[in-house]
Amino acid sequence: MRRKITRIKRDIVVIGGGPAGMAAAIRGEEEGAEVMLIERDIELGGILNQCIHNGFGVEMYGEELTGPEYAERFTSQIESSDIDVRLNSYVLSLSPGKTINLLTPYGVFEVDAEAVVLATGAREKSRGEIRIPGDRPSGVMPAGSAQKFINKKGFMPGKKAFVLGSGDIGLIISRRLTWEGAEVVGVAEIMDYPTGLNRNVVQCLHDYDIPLHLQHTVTNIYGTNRLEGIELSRVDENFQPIEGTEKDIEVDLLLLSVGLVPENDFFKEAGVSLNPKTSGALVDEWFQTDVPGIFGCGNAIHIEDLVDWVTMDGFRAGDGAVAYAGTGSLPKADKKVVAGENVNYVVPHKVSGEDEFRFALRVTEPMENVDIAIKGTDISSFQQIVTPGEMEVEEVSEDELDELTDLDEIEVEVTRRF
Amino acid sequence: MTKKYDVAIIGAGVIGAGIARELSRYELNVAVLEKEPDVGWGTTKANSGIIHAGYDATPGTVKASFSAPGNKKYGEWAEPLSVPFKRIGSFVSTKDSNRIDKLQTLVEQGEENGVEELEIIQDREKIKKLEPNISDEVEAVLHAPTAGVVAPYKLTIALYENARDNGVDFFFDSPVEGIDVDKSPGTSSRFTVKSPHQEYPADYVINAAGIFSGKVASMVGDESVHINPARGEYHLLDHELQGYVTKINFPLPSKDSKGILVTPAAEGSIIFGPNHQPLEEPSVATTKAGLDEVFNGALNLFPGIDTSKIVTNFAGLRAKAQTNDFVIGESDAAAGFINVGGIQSPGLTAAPAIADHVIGILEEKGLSLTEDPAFDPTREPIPKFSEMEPEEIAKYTDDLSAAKEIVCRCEDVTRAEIEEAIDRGAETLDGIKFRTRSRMGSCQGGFCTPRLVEILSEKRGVSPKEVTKKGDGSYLLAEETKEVE
Amino acid sequence: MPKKEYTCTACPKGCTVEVEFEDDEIIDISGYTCVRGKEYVKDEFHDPRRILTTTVKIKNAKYPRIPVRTETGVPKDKLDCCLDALQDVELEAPVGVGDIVIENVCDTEISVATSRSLDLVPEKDRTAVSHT
Repeated sequence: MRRKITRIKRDIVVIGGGPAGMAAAIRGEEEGAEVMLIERDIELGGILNQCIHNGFGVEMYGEELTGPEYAERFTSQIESSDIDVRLNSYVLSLSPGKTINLLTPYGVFEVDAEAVVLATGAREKSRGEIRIPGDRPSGVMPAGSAQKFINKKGFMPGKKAFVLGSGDIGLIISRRLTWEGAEVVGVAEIMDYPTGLNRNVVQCLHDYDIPLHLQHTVTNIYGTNRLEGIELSRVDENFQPIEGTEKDIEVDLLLLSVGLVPENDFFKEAGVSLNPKTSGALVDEWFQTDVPGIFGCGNAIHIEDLVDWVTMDGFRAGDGAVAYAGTGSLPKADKKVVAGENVNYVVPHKVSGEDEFRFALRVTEPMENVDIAIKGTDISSFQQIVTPGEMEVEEVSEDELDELTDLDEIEVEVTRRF
Repeated sequence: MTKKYDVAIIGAGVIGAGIARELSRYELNVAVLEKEPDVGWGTTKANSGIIHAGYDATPGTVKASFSAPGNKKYGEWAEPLSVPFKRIGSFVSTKDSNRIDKLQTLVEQGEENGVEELEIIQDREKIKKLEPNISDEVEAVLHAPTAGVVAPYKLTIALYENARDNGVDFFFDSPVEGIDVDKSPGTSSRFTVKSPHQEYPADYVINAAGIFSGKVASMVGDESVHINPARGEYHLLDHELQGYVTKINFPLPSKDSKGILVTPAAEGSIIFGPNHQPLEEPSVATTKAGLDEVFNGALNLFPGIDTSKIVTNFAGLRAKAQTNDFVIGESDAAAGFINVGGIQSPGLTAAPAIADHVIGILEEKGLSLTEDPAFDPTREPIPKFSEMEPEEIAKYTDDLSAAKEIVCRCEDVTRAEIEEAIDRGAETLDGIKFRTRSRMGSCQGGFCTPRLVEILSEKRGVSPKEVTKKGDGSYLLAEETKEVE
Repeated sequence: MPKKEYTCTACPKGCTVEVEFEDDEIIDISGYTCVRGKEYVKDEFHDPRRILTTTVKIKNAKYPRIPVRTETGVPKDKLDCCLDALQDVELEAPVGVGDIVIENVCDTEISVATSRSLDLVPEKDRTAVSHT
């Protein structure tokens, strides 16, 4: 016997109830759209709820909030709004025509949306992706899983830990483990500089005398059942382990903080083009993808450093979705934005040139005294120091748009001043 | 009172579980002793999952006599047991037109072994039509359409469930520590198989202990079985690449290298492997050199494959006998003790034929076989949410509220599937993984592991600290935060 | 004269700044490249403070732990004391965000407060319930 599936219509459907999705939904509703916000977890807030450390909201609120505090500012606003929030709900499919099959605790629905915002966040890279050889015991996990066990579930995944990766997640989990009574014997970073914020290096490692092994990686894993130890090796300039530098370290926990990958499954399903550099969707200044009416924001587009930027992008995507849902189109974004000298990638990938916009970029290597500029224009800004670990965000104001009129392609470059 | 068994099988890999399932057709008391907490965790779980056509075994060997017959019988196992099995066909490819005669040798060998439908294809267009992404440099292939792929762990789980439903007793965490042989006439049973928890009197013993079959044979004074383990390493890719490779692809072995195969696994992902590393001591640790070898070997046949989609790597062990052939037959040291050892490749292919053969030996040695009228050859799979249409989902989830929670989102596995896997015998995260595919997808358990631990602990009524990845000390959680010391 | 090295956190550059001191007095600061670096090490030398963010136990909520924080930075050498003070605290749902958990923790004149709200939920909705 087949069941009849209930059909629903909404102006905007936002998939993902983390900071990006919450912002897009709030903006959509504020502008008068009928918004559905879909979240698979039992609550809104996404990964913010397990990031119990402070450092969120400096750009947005000028305050140092913890992740849950930051999240609660948005969840409380959503609770008092008319946003149709669907918790414990899963998108089963998304068509290019913006029809969503949705599984909820109340059954299966078919939702027709005028505009869809994908705010699906990112996932952590696994051991297999970076091919660490060795045994396959328990006690090897992504740092985010450990964070969830400790902060939400109240369990310690080990007592003597090593952390691979010096991004902010790796640094913060090191301090967290220390505060909960575990010993962190070291952090390894394959690059020759820490990839997380300097403040976190100081406050999470130096404060507790946790050694940071730059230009090192884990080259073997020991333990048939539970992790018993790891092998740490120095790497050469091509990131290959140098023979003879191996050192065994006894630990019962190895946490991997080796990068995040945008969750892009729904983009692919909807036929959206991706940026091979970021694995996220190609978007314009309103975060619209190349499938009309499908938007994306937050870590699903590229991995951001600050939740504040994620929120601002979410608002912008919300604006775009409202405009699209109302008129069925947005100004044509036909100027390509490309990464020039010393730029690893830049978002957005296209702009109309008719409206002020913000662009975010990452440089290819640490540099001092640089200009971040749009080639062939006077649009430029000086930075004393830039590193790949810190995203740079620049604005192109209303007044500066004239300078772009004759450009077919906007090339963003970072050059040393002296 | 200790139950007396007609047959005790040592080892619950595909061989032991397969023999147990075939014996469950008869009115017999059968016990299976397994040292691991689950079935299929030795050689069975980590191999290529290929049902070979049967041309590669040298005619006249024991291997050759079981390969093609085993292949022919696969449908009879897979269908009633609802196990994913597809005859996708295999290619042996060469880039060297001077070596086409070697393909011809394989054809002749295959024909002698009873393999049907073998053909050599030299038309590049036709090769590309059958396998669009194979290297342009391939000059000729041997195509064997009868070759197939199966999920070996799923097959073994199905054999186990069906054997159990038909009355076979399985004992897990039960390593065999000794076997007493009573040769005096008039005793009630010939063997007493001893594990740390229990003794199992039995008239016949089947040694299907894989890597450890030499050790088990020596427990009855049989020193004729020598196993030299040889490791094989693999890479597994995300199911996103499904369709990129359509056939089982072997390179034509050269004198330097046996070559790395590239194949779709029965459940959709693509797998590369294995290399061949003889070992002194069994170990399933992967190595950098080995993983690199496998990685580069795969690129030889599929230079364009997106290796950034590798989700995991692992190693398995071949239970290679000194004779380099299967060792199947009654031991000279103890009547009624049947060795089924040295089951390396193509052991998975041969398994159904081996099971039949072993039952023939038992009958010949005096075991009386009376068909059990209650025997049911079918076993229902765990319903797979990810393969349902929206209307089916609507009904399935309405009927079963646990199906409304998707626990593993990479592979779309519901809580209902997880709970059913636990009900059917999974006691560990790996047990759940092999039954449901949770933790097998692109995030490798990054998201769902905390939830899986919760569900397993709730269902089993134990603390989350007692939940393990694979039994025996492989706990996930050391202690509670704020635990008072 | 004793010296102490600091990594400045005022910007991503992370200058290594050296402080020469005698007793509690700074004699010389060197290695900084801007005025912010100098200010940073002065604070770090005289009164290093850190915000503590951890969890405490909670009953009758959907999770068995709730995140808490010190409202502002506490002296670095009081962190252990603060952690100890929170070890045995057990709250009971419902709680709001910003509810005071401990006032004047370790005589710092700073309070520890919850950093989220958690509702009272029926037993079936409580996850990862402690079994010990």
